[in-house]
Parts: sequence; C-alpha cells; structure tokens
Amino acid sequence: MIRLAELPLQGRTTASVSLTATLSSALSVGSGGSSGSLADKPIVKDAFGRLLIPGSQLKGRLRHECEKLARGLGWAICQSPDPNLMCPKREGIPGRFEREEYRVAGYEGSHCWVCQIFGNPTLPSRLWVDDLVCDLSPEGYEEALRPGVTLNRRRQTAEDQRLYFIETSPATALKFTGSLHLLPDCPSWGKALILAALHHIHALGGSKSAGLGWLTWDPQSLVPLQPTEQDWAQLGQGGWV
Amino acid sequence: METIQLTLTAESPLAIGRQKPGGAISEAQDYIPGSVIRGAIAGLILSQAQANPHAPLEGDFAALFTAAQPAVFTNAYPGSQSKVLPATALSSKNDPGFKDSGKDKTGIFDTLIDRFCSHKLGIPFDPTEPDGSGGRVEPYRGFYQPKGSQYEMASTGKRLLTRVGINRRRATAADQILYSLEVMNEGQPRKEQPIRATTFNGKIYLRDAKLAETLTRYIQANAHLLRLGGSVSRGLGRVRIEAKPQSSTPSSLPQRLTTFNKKLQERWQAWQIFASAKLPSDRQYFAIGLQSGAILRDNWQRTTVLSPAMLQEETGIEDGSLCLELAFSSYDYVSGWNAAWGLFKDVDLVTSPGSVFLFSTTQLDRWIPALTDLEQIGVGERTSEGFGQVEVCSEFHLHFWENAV
Ligand SMILES: [Zn+2]
Repeated sequence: MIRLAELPLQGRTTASVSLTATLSSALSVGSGGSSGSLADKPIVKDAFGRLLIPGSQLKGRLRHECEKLARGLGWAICQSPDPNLMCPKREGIPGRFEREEYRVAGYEGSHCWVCQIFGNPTLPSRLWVDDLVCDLSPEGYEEALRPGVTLNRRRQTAEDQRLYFIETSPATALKFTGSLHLLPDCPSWGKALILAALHHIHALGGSKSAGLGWLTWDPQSLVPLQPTEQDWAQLGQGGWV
Repeated sequence: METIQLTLTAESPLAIGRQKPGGAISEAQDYIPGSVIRGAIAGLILSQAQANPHAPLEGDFAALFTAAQPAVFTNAYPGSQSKVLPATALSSKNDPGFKDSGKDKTGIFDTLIDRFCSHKLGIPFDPTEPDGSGGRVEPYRGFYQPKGSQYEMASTGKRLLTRVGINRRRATAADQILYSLEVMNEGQPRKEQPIRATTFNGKIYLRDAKLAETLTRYIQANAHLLRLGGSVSRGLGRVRIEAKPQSSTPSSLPQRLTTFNKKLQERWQAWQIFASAKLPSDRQYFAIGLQSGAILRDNWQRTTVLSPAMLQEETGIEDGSLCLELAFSSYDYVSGWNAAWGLFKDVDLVTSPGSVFLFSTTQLDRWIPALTDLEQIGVGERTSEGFGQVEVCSEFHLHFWENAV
C-alpha cells in the first residue's frame, strides 16, 4: 500500500550534498565545437552567462576516481565508458564478478560497485551530479584568451599549425556551487567512495599541466558525506579479485 | 473534476528528446510532454516507497497511475497560459506573426468559420494577407499566450551541448566519444531586459478531491527531487515545480458555445453577398480543437479524423443528428520517453496538435456536460499522458481576416 502522505519512509530519502569548490587558478572547461567565441576551446556557460563546470564532467571524474579506489581495494570493476566493457556485459574484462555483493534487486546480471553508484546501460545512476555554477554575474569579470601551442616532443619545437586558443576564467578565487544527490537506492558505502574520490580531485577541466583549473573543496560542504564505520568496513573488506 | 496547476521553471538545460523515423536522435522537444512529468512523479514515488517490483501497487499510487480512470497529466507548454494555435490560423508567408511582434506584420487570423461558409455555399475561399496587398498566407503554428489585450507567441530557445567522452585509461579526451545533445535552454534572452528563466505550464486533472490535495502537498514537498528528461544524473533536467490547486470556477464553455454560434450565424449572413442559401435553422455548431497530439483509433485502425461515431463512443452520448462538417488535421509521429531507462518508447502515429473538427447537431444542450469533461480528460488513447487534450470552440476562431491579431 502506498500512501503519499507517508512518503518518504525511513531510510528511503534522497541525500543531497551541497558542494562548494574554490578555484585557485583560472579554469578552462572547454567544449570543443561550440560557437560564439574566438577560442578553440571556449569556456562553458549557462543560458544566463554564468560560468559552470558541467555535471557530466564532474560525474565522469568522480567515476574515474572511484574506479581507481575500488580496484585498489581489490574489487572487480568494469571499464566505463565503453558499453561493451561495462557491466553487465564486460567482454573480456578479468575479475570475479559473479558474487552476491554485485546483485541488484530487480536487475539482471551482476553490477560492480562503481556501476551500482554511477549506473550502466541497464542500471540507472543512483547518483545525480548537478552542474557547479559560479554565482558571479557575467558583468563581474572578463574571460581571458590564452594561446597554447602543441609541442613536438621529439624535436622539442613548437608546431606552428598547432597553435590554438583556450578561453579561461579570470585567475581569481571564483566559488562554484552545485549539489550531489544520492538517490534512495544508492548503497550506503557509496558515500565513503565518493568522499574519498573528491579528496583525489584537485583540478577539473583541461590544461592542468598549464596550471589551469586547480580547486579546493570547502571542507564544510563535505560534512554530509561522512560515512559510518560500517560503510568503511564494507568497502575495506575488499573483493580480492 | 479537480485541477492542479503546475508551473515548471527550468534550472538547468532540459534534454527532452523526440524521435521521428529517420530523424536525428537528439532533437529537443518544444515542450515538456505530460508523459515525462507523469513518469518523473511515478518514479519518485516508487523510489521512496521501497515497492517490491512484483507486488501489486495499491493505494494512492494505483489511484493516480493505474486505475481505470487515472489522473491526467497534460503537456506543459512554454509560457504561463499558452495554447496551441489552431491549424486554421493563417499569417503572411513573408512576414508572419502577431501584429504586436513587429512593425510591418499584418497579423494572424483564423479561417475555420469562413471555410465552413465557403464550403457550404460552394464558393472557393482563397485568403490573402489582411492588409489587402494580396500577399500569400500560410498556416502558422506554435504556442500563443495572452499579452494584455493582444497575444504573443510562446517558445523556448534551444542549444547544442557538446560533451567530450573521456578515455579513462589515458585520461585524455577520446575523439570517438565526442557527442552533442540538443537541449531546451534554461533562460530566455529578452530585448533590453535581463534573461528570464524558462517557464512551462501544465495541469493535472483528477476526480478525487482528497487525492488532489494529497498530491499537491506531495509535489510541493518533493519537487526538488524531480528531474525531467535525459542525462538527469549529469546535471540536466533540473526544474522547480510549483503545484497549486485551481479553484473550481464554472466552465466558460456554455458561453463560448453561444458566442461561437452567434458569430457563425453573423458570418453566414455576411457571405450572403456571394450566394444566397439558408442554414438549417435547427442546427448548432461546435468546434473541437486538439491542444496536444491525439492517438485516435477507429475500428482498430489508426485515423487522424475524429468521427461522429468516435465522439459518441468517447462521451457515451447517442446523437443521430451529429454530423462532422469540416476536419483540418494532419499527422505526426511521436515517441514517448521512458524516464527510468532514459530510452525512447515505440513510435506512435498521432493526429497533430492544432487539428480542428467542426461538428453540427440539433441537440447541443445535451453535449454541454460531455464537452466540459472532454476539455479535461481528452480524447483517444493515452490521455493520462496528456494525449488528446482538446479545446472546444476556441475564442481564436473569432479572429477573422479583417480583424487579424
Ligand atoms: Zn560495472
């Protein structure tokens, strides 16, 4: 029996975590191919002209970091984003995927722990990552164009034809805010993995080596992600592939 | 019937796609389909209810979504009180649009009643531009809404988002997984004014007053957890949804029917300059205009015309005098969006929004209650997802050639 007035029931809530990142250098979140800018890699903005770090990019990085961490703990993890290398198909990926922990009620096949948070072609994502938006009004700054050159490493020379421009945010301490949402079905140990992954993300966007996109997470904003002893224990028991 | 008014404000781009046979897969829709809103609310309730996928769903969920007379979720159109222009509305081929929207515009006008007169009198009807220049006119489609005493078009902007797939092994952008996605914009630029957030308006109709109250409160409390369309786990599809009960005012339908018939008679008199003939004195008229695509079936066959037989069956009214005088319809293909899977449903043939059917009867009074219901429930199949929404005797039909708007 479902009674709307009684929802959500205990433990079936979406946990929303408001994230704040402060940039310590200029940001270049490029999206090749979009128009309206002189740059080859223009910076991404929303319809209001505010700078943003797309949720797709943060989600991709989080998944990448979670995969590394989980593998390090000995769990069998598939290889996103190629659907053929992802759960539940995983053509030619080694690992002991046939185990109780990889079963998901209502879904066929086995799904590694990263897929259980981030989803795969058959399992919907249980984590939503919103865009991180900079609240500074577009009038408050001017984006900068930086020239870049591709180096030919063998000859140690710049290749003329590979000169390009990247658009960056100004090099001020811009604050970006957005939210993560852990849906009711998201496993509790997911918090532990996501928190650890955030600690491994020190830069977003392109051209890190050129000193762009370095950021720090506001420690206060990570508090709601504090996992329990049990969450750590579950992760730590390892899968030993 | 209870009505819940929904106002949706986009907080991120919306990736609500539509698919036509042979078309690009990521083409964005112009509105939020009722099926998308319905699916999102149903999905949220299920995710909170810890429902066993194999157990029968009872209680409020069943009453809303699976009962014999489920709640109706209409499409949410851009703007605040927007409607679909009838297929009989025409405007200049060279410079179309409402008069207010530009200096040289000759406006938009409706031809339903004139077409009826010319058809009955056997006189060819070949409308031209309302300024008398003889310029060519063509059907003008889209959503319109009142603006003061005039009208304006209501639409959303779209843009292409380019996403770069990452090759995680090498942590570099992998060219072969660069993809782009057409989305509805979350903001609308305006002339010399700040960008305004994109809003949509839709309705939920349901029979049970108590359930309406519960659902309104549920949406108000949980709206921040709803996401609409595709790529929702990656930041798209965020909307702010406000739900409020619409106070039940008496339907304006009887008034609209009276005005429509009066204008039709007047217009008939005007046409007597060209030919003299009498309208049957015992007949009255009503127009049914589609406000959303309709899935119509006649004897198991898909059709794009609402026939008198179908209308009698839909409403349960037997009226041997009912006659279809004119039909303006075209068809389109739509596919649904399965929110849980982020996939398209099967493609369906639908009668296009804007299609108009003009009926006559000798028993108009008997039809008033049925037509009032029809304006909320809709006609045809999948009405709970917003298909087959109708407007009876739209006031737009009264904007004739010489008073184009
Ligand atoms: Zn996996």
